Amino acid sequence: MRTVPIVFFILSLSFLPSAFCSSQNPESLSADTIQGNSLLELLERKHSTTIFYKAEWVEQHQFPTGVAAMPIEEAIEQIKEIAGLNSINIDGMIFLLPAESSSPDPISSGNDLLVIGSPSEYGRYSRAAISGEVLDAATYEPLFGAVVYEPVTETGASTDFEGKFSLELPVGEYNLRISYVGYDEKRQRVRLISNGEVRFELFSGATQLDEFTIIARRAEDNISRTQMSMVSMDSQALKELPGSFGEQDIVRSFTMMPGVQTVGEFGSGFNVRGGSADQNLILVENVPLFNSSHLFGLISVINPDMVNNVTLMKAGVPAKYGERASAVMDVRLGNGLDQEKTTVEGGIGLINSRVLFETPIVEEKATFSLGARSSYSDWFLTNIPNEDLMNSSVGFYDISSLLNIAITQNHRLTLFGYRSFDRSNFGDDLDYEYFNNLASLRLNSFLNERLSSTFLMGFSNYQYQLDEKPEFYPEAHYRMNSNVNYRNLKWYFSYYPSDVHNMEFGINAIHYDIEPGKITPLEQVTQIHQREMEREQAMELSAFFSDEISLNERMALEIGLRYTHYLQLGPATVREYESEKPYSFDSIRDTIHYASGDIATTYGGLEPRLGFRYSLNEFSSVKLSYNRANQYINLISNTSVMAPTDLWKLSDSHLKPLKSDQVALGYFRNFMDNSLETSVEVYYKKLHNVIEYRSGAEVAMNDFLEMDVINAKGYNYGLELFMRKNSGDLTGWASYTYSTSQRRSQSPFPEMQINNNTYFPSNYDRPHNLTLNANYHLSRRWRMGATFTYNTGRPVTLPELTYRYNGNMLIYYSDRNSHRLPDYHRLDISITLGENLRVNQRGKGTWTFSLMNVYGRKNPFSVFYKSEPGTIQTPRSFELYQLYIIGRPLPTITYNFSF
Amino acid sequence: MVKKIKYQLVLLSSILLLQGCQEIYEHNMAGLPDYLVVQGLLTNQQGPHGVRLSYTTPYGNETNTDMVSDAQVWITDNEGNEIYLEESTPGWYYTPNDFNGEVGKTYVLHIATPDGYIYQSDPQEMMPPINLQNLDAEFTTEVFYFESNVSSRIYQDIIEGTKVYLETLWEQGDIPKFRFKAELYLQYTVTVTDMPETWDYCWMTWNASRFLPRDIPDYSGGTGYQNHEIGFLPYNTSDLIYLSLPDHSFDNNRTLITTLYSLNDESFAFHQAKNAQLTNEGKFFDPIAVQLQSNIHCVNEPERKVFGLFEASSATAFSHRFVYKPATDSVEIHPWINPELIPEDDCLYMEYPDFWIH
Repeated sequence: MRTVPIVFFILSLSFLPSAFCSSQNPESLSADTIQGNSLLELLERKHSTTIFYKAEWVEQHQFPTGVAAMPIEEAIEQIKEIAGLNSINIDGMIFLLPAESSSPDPISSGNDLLVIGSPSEYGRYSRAAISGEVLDAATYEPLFGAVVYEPVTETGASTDFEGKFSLELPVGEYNLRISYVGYDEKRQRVRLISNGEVRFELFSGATQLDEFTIIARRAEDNISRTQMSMVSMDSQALKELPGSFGEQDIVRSFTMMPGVQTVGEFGSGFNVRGGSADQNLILVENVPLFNSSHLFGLISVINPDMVNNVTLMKAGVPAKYGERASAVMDVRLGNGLDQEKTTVEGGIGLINSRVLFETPIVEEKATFSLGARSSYSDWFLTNIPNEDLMNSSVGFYDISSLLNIAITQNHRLTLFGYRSFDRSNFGDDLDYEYFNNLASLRLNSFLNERLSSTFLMGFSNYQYQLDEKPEFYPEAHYRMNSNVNYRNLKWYFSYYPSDVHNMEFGINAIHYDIEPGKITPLEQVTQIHQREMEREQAMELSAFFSDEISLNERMALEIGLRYTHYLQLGPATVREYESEKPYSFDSIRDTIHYASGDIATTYGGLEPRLGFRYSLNEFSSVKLSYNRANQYINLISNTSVMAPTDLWKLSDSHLKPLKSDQVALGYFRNFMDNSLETSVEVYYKKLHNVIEYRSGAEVAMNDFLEMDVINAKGYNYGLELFMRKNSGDLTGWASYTYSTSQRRSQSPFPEMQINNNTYFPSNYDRPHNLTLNANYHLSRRWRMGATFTYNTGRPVTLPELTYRYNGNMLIYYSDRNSHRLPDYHRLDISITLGENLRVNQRGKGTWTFSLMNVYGRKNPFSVFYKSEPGTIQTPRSFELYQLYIIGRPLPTITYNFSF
Repeated sequence: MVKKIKYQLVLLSSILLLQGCQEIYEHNMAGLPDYLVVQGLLTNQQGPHGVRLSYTTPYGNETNTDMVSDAQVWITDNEGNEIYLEESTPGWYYTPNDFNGEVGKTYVLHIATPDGYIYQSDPQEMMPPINLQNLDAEFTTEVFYFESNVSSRIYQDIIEGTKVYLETLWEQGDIPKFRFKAELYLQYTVTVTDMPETWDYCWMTWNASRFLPRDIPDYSGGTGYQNHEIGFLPYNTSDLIYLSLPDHSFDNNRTLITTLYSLNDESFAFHQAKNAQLTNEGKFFDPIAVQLQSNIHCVNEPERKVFGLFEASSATAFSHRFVYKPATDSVEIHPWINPELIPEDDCLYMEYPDFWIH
C-alpha cells in the first residue's frame, strides 16, 4: 500500500518539467528568440508529446522562434545543438539528456566496471540485452519513467511502473547513464558480454552510494547456459561473502561451494570433487599460481580488491582450458579501460592491510591499477612473553599491477605483474621463505564482427627456501631451495559464423622448468654436502577446438576437443628397472642419460569435452557434461595437507600423466522470478595414474622418487545440492554434498601396495559437507552475515599397536586412512557497517566486525607425531598430537576505505 | 598510557595468534587383540643365539610388555637340520652354545605359542660378511638427555667427545646391505678392599650407537655414503656418568668395537622401515606412516598379524682406538685387536689382560 503514494509522487515528478514550463513568464520571450522552457512547452502542445528534461539544462538558452514551427525531429535537433544536449525517443516520449562533453562531471555512482553476463560467455554473442530495474536508493521503490541511456549508440530505454527496463546493445563496453527527474544522474561503466540483469539505484537528495547493488549476470544464467558445475562470482558478490580475518578471501570463499573442500582448516589450496589441490588450475590473469596461500593457508595470495570476477569450473571445462585434471579457477583482475578518475581504496586489519590505487593514464585509452598487501605481525610476536614466539617472525606481502591499453579501437593490450612473498621463522632454528612471481601479456583483437582473437604470453615462477639452523649443531645448518618456472604462449580465436554456432579454436605451448631441490651447507663446519636434484624440463603443446551449438530453443550442445603432446626434455637421467621386481636400488637394470634438448619421454592424448543442455521451461533445465583432462605436472607431498615445501614434479617415464574422466548430470531450477536458484548435480570421476605413496615415502631431495611413488587409480563420485537466494534483504545459500573419493594401488609387489591393493579413502574423502550462509541487510548501512560449515572428519592413518624391538618402541599403524578425525564444524558471524551515504563525504569507509568459530570448537587440523627425546634411562618414544588452528572464538575488525 | 596501549595491543594480538594450539590426541585402541612380536637373531658367530617373544600392546595403553613363555621355538635349515631353543628367562629362547649359522644356508624359525598358534618365518638366507671400508672421526659435542629421578623432568647435557663415522662406497647394483652396532670398550681399575696397592683390572663394553636413530646407512645417495655416524665416544671420563655408565675409574682410552651384520632383502627392508619410523616424527600434517613388514606369518591363521623379524646375518666385528690430539684438533684412528679376543665384561686380579691398553 505504501507504493501507491510513491508511484503517485513519481508520476508527479515525471510531469514536473512540463508543469514548470507552463508557469514561466511569457515576458521572457523576445521578438526572434524564445526561452528554452517555453519552447519545449510549445513543442509538447503542438506535437502532443511529452518531453522530459531538467529546466536548468535549457532555461539559460535562447532559441530562434522558428524552431517552434519546425517538425518535432528538426526542432529537437536544433535544441540539442544549441543547448548541448542529447536526446532519445522512447515510445513516443522524448528524453533530453546532457551531452557527454558539455556536462560537468556528474556525481558518479562509482567506478566499478559492471560485467553483465557470464565471463565464460565472453565473445559468444554479438548483441545482448540488459534488463533490470531502477530504484530509489533510499526507499528501494521503483522509479517509473527513469531513463537508461547509452550515448554512443544513442540507445536508451525508460522504466515501466515497476521500474523495469530492457535495453539491447551490441556486446562491448559502455558508459550507461541513468537519470530520473529530481534525482542525481548516475553513470555506470558496463561490460556487456551476454544477456544479464542489473539494478540501478538513484538518489534524490544529498545521499549517494559508491557501489551498485548488482546482479552482474543474467538471473536465469544458471538455467540457460550450457556450462554446468560452474561457480562464478563478481567483485560485489565476493564482498558479500564472509571473509577470513575480516577480509574477503577468494579461495576460502569457493570452499563454501558444493563440491569444493579443504583438507585442513587452513591448508593451502582446495579440493574439487575429491581431487588433490594440485589438480586445480588457478589462473590469475591467465597465468597459473603454484601456491595460492599466504601464511601456510591462512589467507589466499590473491588481493580481493583487485578482483573483477572469479569463475570456478568443476566439470565440463571448455576445451581452451587444460593442464590440470580437476578444475579451473579463472581470476580476472581490474576494471578495464573505464577508470574515469583516480581512486584509492583499501583496508586496515589486525593482521595485514591492503591498498588499491587505480587511475586513468589516458582517458578511455589507458588505465593502471596497483594493489598491495602487507602483514605487520612481527612486532607483537616480539612482545609476547614466550621465548619461542619472541624469536619467531611471520609475514607476507603481495603486489599486483595491471595496465590496460587500447592500442586501437579494436586492439587492447593488458599487462599484468604480480609478486607475493612469505616468510616465517620459528625460533632461531627454521626459516621458510616462498615467492610467487607472475607476469602476463594479453592482446585482444576484434578482427571483425564475427571473429576475434586473444594472444597470451605468461610467466609464473614459484620458489621456496628453507634454512634449518638447529642450535648447537652448526654442522647441521643447511639451506634447501626449490624453483618452478612456467612459460606459456596461447593464441586462440572466437568465431561466430552464425547465431547458432559459437566456436573457439587455438594453440597453446607451455614450457616447464623445475629445479626440484638443492641443498647448500650454511656453515664451514656443516657436514651436509651440497647436493642438487636433477633439473626437469618439459614442453606441453596443445591445440583445441570447441563449438557451442544452439540446436533449437530448448537444446544446446557444446562439443570440444583438445589434443596435448608432452615432451620430457633432457638433460635427464632415466633409470630402467627389472620388471619382475619392485623399484629399488637392487632392481635398477640400466641408467640412460639424455643430453640437453633430447626428448626423454613423450606422452600425448585427446581430451574430448562435451556439454549438453535441455531447457525444460524458462525456469528449469537439465545438463550433462563429460570431459577428459591430462595433467603432466604434479605436486609430490607425503602429507595430507599441501605445504609450501612440497615438490612439483613433471611426468617422466615412471610417473605417468594423471588422467581424469568426469561425467556430470545436473538439474537446475529457479524459483521466485529467478531470485532463488536451486540445483542438483551428480558426478562420477575416474582417475588414472593418480599419485599415491608407499609406506614411509620420502619426498625432499629424493633422487629416486619413483621408488617411493605409486601410480594408483581411483574414482570419486558425489551428489551436490545447492540453493541460493540472490536478492532481497536476505541473501545467501545452502549447499550439501555427499561424496566419496577412493584410491587403489595396483602393484603386484607387496612393497608397492597400499592396504593390499584394496580401495581406500583418499585424503579428500569427506562424505558429508554442509554449508549454510546468510546475509541480512538490516538497513542500508548495516549488514549481518553468518556462515556455518560442517564436514565429515577427514581420513587419517593412526597408530594402533606398539611393541618393543631391540629396545625401541615401534608402531603398527592402521591401514591407510582407515580412521577419521572428528567431524569439523564451525560458525562464523559478522556485522558490517557500510559507508556513509552523504554525497559530500570525502572518503568512504566500512567497518567489519567478525567472530570466527563462535562456539570455540577445536577442530583438529592435523594429527602428527612428536618425539620425546630418548634419555639415558629410556629410549625415545612418540606421542600423538592434534593441531588445531582456531581453538577459541576469534574476533577481528577491519576498516575498509575508499576515496 | 603508551605502555597501556602497547599492552592492550599485545594482548589483542596474542588472542589472535595464539588461538591455535596442539594437544595430545586421544584415541582409544583398547580392545585390539595382542599379537606376537618376534625378535630373533642368528649369526655365524659362536652361540648362543636368542629369540625374544612378546606381545603387542594397544597404542595409548602401553603397560609392561607381556613376554611369551612356554612356547616351543626351533630353527630348521635347508639341509633338514632342526635346532631347538630353550627358554632361559621369560620370553627369551636360546640356541645351544655350540650352534652357529653358516653363510649361504637358509634358516626358518618355527614358533608354537601356548595359545595354539603356530608361526613360521620366511626362509632367511645368511648373506656373506661385509667388510668395513673406512672409518672417520671428528672431535665435537653431542647433546644427551636424562630424566631427573626427583622431578621426572628431562634435562640435557652437552658433552665433548669423538663422533665416529662409517664410510661405505659401492657401485650401482652392488649395494652392501648391512646394519651396524657400535660398542664402546672401556677399561678401569678397582682397588681391592683392605689391600692397598692391589688392583682389579676390569673391562666392559657399552652400546655407543644406542642413541642413534639409524642403524643402517642412508642409501638415498645412490652410489655410496660417507660419514654415517655410528657412535659417540665421550672425551672426559667424568662425562661417562651422564651416559648411565657405572661410576668406575675409567681411563682415557676410547676404543670402539664395530659389528656389521649382513642383511638379506627382507631383513634390510625391515630395518630400513624401522629406521624410517624412528626418524619420521615431529612433522606436521600427518606424514605417510611407515609400516614395518614382518618376515613371519601365522601358519594356522594366515590373516593373523605378526610383528618383528627373524634375522639370519653374518656378523663381522672390528675394533679401533680413537686418540684426540688437542694441539691439532684432530682424532687419530688406530686399528686394534680382533674383538673376538675380548671376553665378556670381567676383571682380572692384579693382572693385565692381554688386550689391555697401556
